[in-house]
Amino acid sequence: MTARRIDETAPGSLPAARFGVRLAGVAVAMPAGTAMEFVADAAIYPLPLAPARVAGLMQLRGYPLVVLDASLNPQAGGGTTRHDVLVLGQPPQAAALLVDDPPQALPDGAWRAAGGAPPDCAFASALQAGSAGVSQAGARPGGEVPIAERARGVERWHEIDPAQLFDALMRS
Amino acid sequence: MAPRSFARSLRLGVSVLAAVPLAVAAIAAVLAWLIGRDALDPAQAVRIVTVVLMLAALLALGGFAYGRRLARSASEPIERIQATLEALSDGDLDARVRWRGRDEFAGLADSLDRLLDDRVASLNRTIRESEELNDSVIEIMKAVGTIASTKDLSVRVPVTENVTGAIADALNLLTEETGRVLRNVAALSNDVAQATFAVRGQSDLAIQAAAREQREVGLAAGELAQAAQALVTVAQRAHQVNESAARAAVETGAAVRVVGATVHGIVQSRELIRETEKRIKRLGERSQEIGQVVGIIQAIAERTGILALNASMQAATAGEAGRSFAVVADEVKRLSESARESATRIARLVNAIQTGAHETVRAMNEAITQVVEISRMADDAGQAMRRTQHETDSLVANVREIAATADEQARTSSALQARADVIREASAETTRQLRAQSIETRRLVEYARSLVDEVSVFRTEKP
Repeated sequence: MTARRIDETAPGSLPAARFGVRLAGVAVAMPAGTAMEFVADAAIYPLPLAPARVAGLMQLRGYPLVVLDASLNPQAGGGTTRHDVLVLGQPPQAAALLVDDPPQALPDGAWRAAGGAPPDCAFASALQAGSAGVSQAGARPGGEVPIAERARGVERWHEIDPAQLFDALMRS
Repeated sequence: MAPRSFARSLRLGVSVLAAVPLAVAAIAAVLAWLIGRDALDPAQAVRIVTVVLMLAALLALGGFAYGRRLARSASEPIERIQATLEALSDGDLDARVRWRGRDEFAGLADSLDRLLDDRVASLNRTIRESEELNDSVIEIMKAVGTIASTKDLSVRVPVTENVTGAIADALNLLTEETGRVLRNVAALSNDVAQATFAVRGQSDLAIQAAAREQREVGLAAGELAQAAQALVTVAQRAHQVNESAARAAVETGAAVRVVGATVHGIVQSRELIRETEKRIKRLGERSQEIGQVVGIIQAIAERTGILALNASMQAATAGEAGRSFAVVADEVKRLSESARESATRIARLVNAIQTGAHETVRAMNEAITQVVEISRMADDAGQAMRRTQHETDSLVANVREIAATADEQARTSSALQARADVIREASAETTRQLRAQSIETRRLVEYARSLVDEVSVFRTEKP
């Protein structure tokens, strides 16, 4: 492996403005200022008599966190499960979401904002609200994805505000 | 009446005649002694002598008369016997002595008469039997004459009770047996004629066969000559084969040694392959350990990537202040991705190594199996070569014997050729003899027919 100096590897590169993650199959883009932490294979302990949206509890550096399931029909788990989760916020004021895969940085120009909420989405209200309230400075205008970008793998992301996301999930 | 014995009378007369002189002599001697002793005077002596002489004379006269009577009693019967015998000799079989008396001559005459009676009766009986015998013989002669003239063996001779009865019976038996024998002779003659005819046919066939045999013997002699030449060639070839077989035995011995060395080399190769297999297995185990280490590296890279992601998110949270940290986080992320890719390539390589090692081990196991099989086959080949060597040695010995036998056969074939010539000559002689035999057989047929004709003259009873 060739050792490269940091200043040589990313000269003039900016921090990512968004971080994309898939929640119940929906690609959402969260602003980079949100406190987030990805935990792989986190042990989730089911919580009896909890709402269906609550997948269970997990612990992060000694802090118990509530784990929410953003899928349309959450499955009530019988026992302890392991799943990738994204922690939003700073413990102990933080909550976790079940994610399909690790988050990825979305540099400006490398992603497009999706218009409208996909059907059968548990947090559709958050997406509509996010589309209205969140700035789309880094995203390209909506519409059809150009052929060249489609060839490069440019993907559409739904911008979302984490607070509205939690509100939508808790109301669903 | 007591019989008078002529012999006793004769002995008595002789005794008396002998006693007279003795008594005279004794008296004379007594007188002489008395005179010598003077006891008697001569006159007395003369008187005594006179008396004695007179007595002697009386005795002499009495003896003469007695002798004459005795002689007559002996001569008369003798004359009668002589006359009787003379009459008998003249053919008077009725002549008899017929002397009556009480002496021995009467007994003799009586015995002679009884003897003559017996003899005459016997003679008459003999004559009568002789006549009967003559009649029987005449009958036999007539019957034999009939048989001889008519050749009829069924004729029988009359059987009488005399001695010719046995002869007639024997003749009848003889004619009967002769008839039976003649019948058998006739049958046998027919058989002989047929057999002779068959023999003549067979003789003709034998002549033809002998001719063929002579021809075949000639051909066989020629073929034997060719065979002798061929056997000479075979003997030469056998000698050449013997030399080739000897060379083959030497080459087989060298091949056995080479196969033995090959088997030794194969065994060493098998051990080497087994050692290599062990080392490759150990290499596979090491590569498995490497795979485990690669797994750890991949996990570390994964966690490093997550760490870089979280760092980049934290840097983004920090805003402009976290820009440098974001660069470091991005570099860490790249490092983790590079490490993960390298670990993935290493894992693929390790898997390829493990797969290759496994395939190599399997191939080496197959190679060992094949080497074992080849070793076994080489061992079998070595044993087969040793057997071949043994067989080749045996072949050499056999070929040597074949060469010697071929020489012997060539000599024998030459001798056979000479014998074939002798056989050909003998066959020609056989043909000649068979032709002569055929001629004699024809004669024999004629003889048999003649014999049948001769035998058929006799008439015999039907069997």
